[in-house]
Amino acid sequence: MTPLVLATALTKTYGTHDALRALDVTVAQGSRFVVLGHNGAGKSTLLEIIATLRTPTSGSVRVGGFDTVTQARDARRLIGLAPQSNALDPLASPTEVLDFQGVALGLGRRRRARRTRELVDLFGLGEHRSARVAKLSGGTRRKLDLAVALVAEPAVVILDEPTTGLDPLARIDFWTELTRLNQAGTSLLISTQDLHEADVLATDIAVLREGRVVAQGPPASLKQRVGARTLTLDLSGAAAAAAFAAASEAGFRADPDRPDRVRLSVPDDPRALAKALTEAGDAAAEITRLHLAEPSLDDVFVALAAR
Amino acid sequence: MLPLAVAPPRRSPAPVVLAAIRRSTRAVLRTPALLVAPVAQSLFFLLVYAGQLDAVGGTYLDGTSFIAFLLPLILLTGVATGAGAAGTLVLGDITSGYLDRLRLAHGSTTPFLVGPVVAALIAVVLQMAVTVAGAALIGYRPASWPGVAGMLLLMLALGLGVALLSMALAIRSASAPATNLVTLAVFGLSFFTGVFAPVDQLAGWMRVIATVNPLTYIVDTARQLGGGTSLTAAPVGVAAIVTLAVAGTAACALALHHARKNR
Repeated sequence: MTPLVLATALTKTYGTHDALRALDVTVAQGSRFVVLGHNGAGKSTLLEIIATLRTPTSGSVRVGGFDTVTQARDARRLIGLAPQSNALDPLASPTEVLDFQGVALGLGRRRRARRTRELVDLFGLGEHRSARVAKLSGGTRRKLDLAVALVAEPAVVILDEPTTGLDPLARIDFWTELTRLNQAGTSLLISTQDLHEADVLATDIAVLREGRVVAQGPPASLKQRVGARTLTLDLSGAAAAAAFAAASEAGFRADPDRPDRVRLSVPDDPRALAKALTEAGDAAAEITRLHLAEPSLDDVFVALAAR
Repeated sequence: MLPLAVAPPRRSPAPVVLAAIRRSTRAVLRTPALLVAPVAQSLFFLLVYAGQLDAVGGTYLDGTSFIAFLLPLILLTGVATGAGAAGTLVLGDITSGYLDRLRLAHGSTTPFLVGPVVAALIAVVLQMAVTVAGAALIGYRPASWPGVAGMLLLMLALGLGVALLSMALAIRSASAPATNLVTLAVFGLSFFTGVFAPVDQLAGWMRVIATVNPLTYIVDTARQLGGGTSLTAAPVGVAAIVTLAVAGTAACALALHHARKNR
């Protein structure tokens, strides 16, 4: 896919602290790109530089081919931003906030009115259109936040920890909105500490640690990097498990914590998996439970970000 | 070039400035603390001071009504409180990240700073109108209404300086206590003028302080405008207001420059 955002050798220093260190990131057009990292890893700084809100100490970022420092004005026209907190006018109503954003963007009256109507409908804000933002629930405010980022129909929407503070249902609802938006053609650049959120949303992930990208790629490839699938069999007893492990050519090993259980790390080779399943099939009468576990983003995070 | 959705190029800044003024005015009108509190404070001082000292003041003011003497100072304290709303509004937009978002959308912060200043001045005009009406109800009779209009314009110009300075502090500090310093300073200094009596009738150290206090000349110019007398205090009073407004503008420019440099 074509790169929409290209950060090259990006460094940002605050005093003596290096928030970003010669970081390279490529965000493909049409992707849902998630930046993962613990507190202070540099996620927000990276997003703020891409959004033209901060200037890099060295290196460069191009959005849609425009440099975010020397061609900031052009780059900004491609970006919608939903910052970490609900950056909204608490005393205005949703329609007033959307209209004002349209004014700030230089849209004419008719286009503003049309866009406000469209976004109110798209995010189901109709019943709240006249309520003050301060009175809205966290989930509704977050939807409005996203709607404001979309007023200009940007090519990429940047969301900094978008579901922090939302209840589980509101989070799922918000993820659905983001996926729908992405399917309609908008690229998403999201920072989060929530591994489940990253797993649900990401088509690509960059893991940041101490201002550096320590891994970047699709979630599946990152998972493969940090571990293999594990096939676990629970057998009818300790003796059966020991006999099974002893006879296994696929490499099943007894679980030291559970005498009735055997495990196998299945390499990324279909023949190895077939062999393991054949052995399991031969012992089917003794097996009480079979479980195939993929490595999770938790494993990725522990292995890469929190090292 | 990529086939990207692109927002239209920006037009003149005028619609953005007007919309920012409307938005900030709406915010002031929807925030009782910003609009009602200064009015209540002005009316409180007016009623308490006039009620307690009107008869006494009449004995040493050479025929000037005590309420007419008191009114400019009451207006000044109201302006100090009311114009500080500009800083409060900008501070809210800075701390929530909304100002960054608007800057990203428009490309410049300036229109979104003009809005709060104008809105604060609109609030100041409303506060002064209510205060003058309140004074009229308890016996204030100006020598000339054009003189009263001049007094209000003078106070409005002072309000501009206060608004700009409070906004500069909001941008530079992003902290509420620092933003409120200008209001506190002007409010406090206003009591080191001839509050209840002309400066030449004050005694000792208070007279010295009042003589060097620039607010004394602003209050005296307002009294002279309201009373229709010779504007002897005007050169220093107007110079003080112009200095405050210029300092406020420069402080805003410096604060914005500092913010840009530290991005």
